[in-house]
Amino acid sequence: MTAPAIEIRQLRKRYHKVEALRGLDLEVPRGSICGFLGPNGAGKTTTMKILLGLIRPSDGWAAVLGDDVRTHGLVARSRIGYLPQDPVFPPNQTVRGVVSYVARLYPGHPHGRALRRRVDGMLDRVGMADKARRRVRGLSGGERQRLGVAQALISNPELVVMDEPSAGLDPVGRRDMLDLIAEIGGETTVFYSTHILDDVEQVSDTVVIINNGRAIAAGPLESILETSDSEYTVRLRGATEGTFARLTAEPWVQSVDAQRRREVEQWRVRVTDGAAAADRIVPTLLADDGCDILEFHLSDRRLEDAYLEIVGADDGD
Amino acid sequence: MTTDAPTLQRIETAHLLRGLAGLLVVEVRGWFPWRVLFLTIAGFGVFAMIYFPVRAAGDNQFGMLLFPFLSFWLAMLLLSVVSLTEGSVLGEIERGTASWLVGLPIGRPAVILAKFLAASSGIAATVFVTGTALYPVLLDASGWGATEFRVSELTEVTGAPIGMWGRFTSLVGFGEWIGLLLALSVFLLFVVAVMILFGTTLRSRTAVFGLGLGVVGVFGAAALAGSFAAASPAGLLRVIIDVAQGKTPSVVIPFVASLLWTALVLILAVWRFNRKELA
Repeated sequence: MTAPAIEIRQLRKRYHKVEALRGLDLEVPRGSICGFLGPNGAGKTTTMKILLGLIRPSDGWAAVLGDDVRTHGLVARSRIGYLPQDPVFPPNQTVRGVVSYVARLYPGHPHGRALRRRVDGMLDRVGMADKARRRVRGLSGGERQRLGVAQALISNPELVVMDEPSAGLDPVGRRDMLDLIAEIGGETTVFYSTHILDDVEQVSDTVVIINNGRAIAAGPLESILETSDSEYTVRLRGATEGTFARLTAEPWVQSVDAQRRREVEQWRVRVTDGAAAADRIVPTLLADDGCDILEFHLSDRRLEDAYLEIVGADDGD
Repeated sequence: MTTDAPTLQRIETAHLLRGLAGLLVVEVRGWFPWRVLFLTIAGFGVFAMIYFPVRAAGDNQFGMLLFPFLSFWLAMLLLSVVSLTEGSVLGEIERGTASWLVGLPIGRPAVILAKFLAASSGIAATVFVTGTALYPVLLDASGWGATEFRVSELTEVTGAPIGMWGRFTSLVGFGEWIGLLLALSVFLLFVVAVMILFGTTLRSRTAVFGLGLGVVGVFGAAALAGSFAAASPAGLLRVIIDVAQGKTPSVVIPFVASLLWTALVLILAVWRFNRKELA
């Protein structure tokens, strides 16, 4: 059986009196683009640093592509490309120098002209070809980020770990980064942390949400969206009181938020049981001849709604 | 790209030194040529700019410049080594480049070893280039046509107040001079190892710098005292003093002891760095 790209069991990390990870369990399937979400201080960067061998876990177990990161850390790292949160490189090195240097560290790397071709190709891919001879100290934050991506991908790694890859990028840079993640997602596993939920919706197929050092939701993006309550939007006109009363009496209705503009009323109906609502909501709305239904649709659930709901529920526990 | 099992096995077996060659190239570039050139020019060049014009003018007071310079050169060399190496590890950790490096498939011991080898080669090159260039000046100060110089003669010629150097009566040939430079270089390797160890242990560069100077001071004082210095790096400093005073010191024990001390300190530094959390 092929091991998952990342497998973590009961991982704990304590910094003096602060417990950053409290028995984290998570599994990232191979070939997925996994968005790693969570509030500030939830333990995302700590988790990534443990995977990279930068810090040691206090307890628990973590493996990358089947290799235990504690006992086979070097092997694990030789299969990972890593983009740190705020990438820093030796200031006197040139852009090409950094990427060439990293390329040569990985097993099976090309030599001579083939290496140069690969490095130039990668710099071209991240939009840094014209800055290949520039020194790192002269790069802007966005350029450093692009260089970080180039060095993370230069070895064609089996797993790419990125800590907030689009942080600090301008809108064009962010767009390019998303395109790049989507592109490499076809070739490798991508595990990245971010606070920009829009980005996750656009490129990820898998999501892990972490809070207070524990994973509180994980799985395909669709299943994360489905776990939260659904919401319908209804616009109607006429005598709506009877319909409103019938609707709010249904057990699958959580709440109905009503707003009136002139003679048109708009309801936002939140439901707890999506399947029951799909069966019953239309007959319930149409049961009364006194009102006309002008608009009816199931609102698109956004990851942001699901995220806030899941994290909010966990904080409330 | 999928890495095959034999390749991964080789990575494991090459654990300690994996990435050393590449790291060494980067680190050496940090020393050669500019830093070494700067140290050499700062050491010899500044003195030569003053000495040769005075010599050309036929002024016999040039010796007054020579001996303060020798003392000054040694002091500045030690100070330079401490100040140039105080940030070699801690500076990388503070900047974040250490996290980047250690996240790559590199063995942590290779990081320490590369820093040590690069700094050592840079410092040794500085000592030998400056020292070799200085030798003809010492001959010149002893009188034209000399093939070796006697330290005490220089005082008689110049009448310069030269402090402790005035006690030295030995004839120093070129071979001995190179031996003295070697002893100084090996002592400085020990200082580099100590600075790297402090960098992996302490959290403040000021503390690393201060303690580094302290170590140099303690070993310097031990060399002057001479009693317990032989089996430590201070023994090498003692060898320099003994040679200049015309004695024939035992060189094997100080050299071997210094290399062992250096190796021990490096092992400790590797152990500390392996345990270091790069948060």
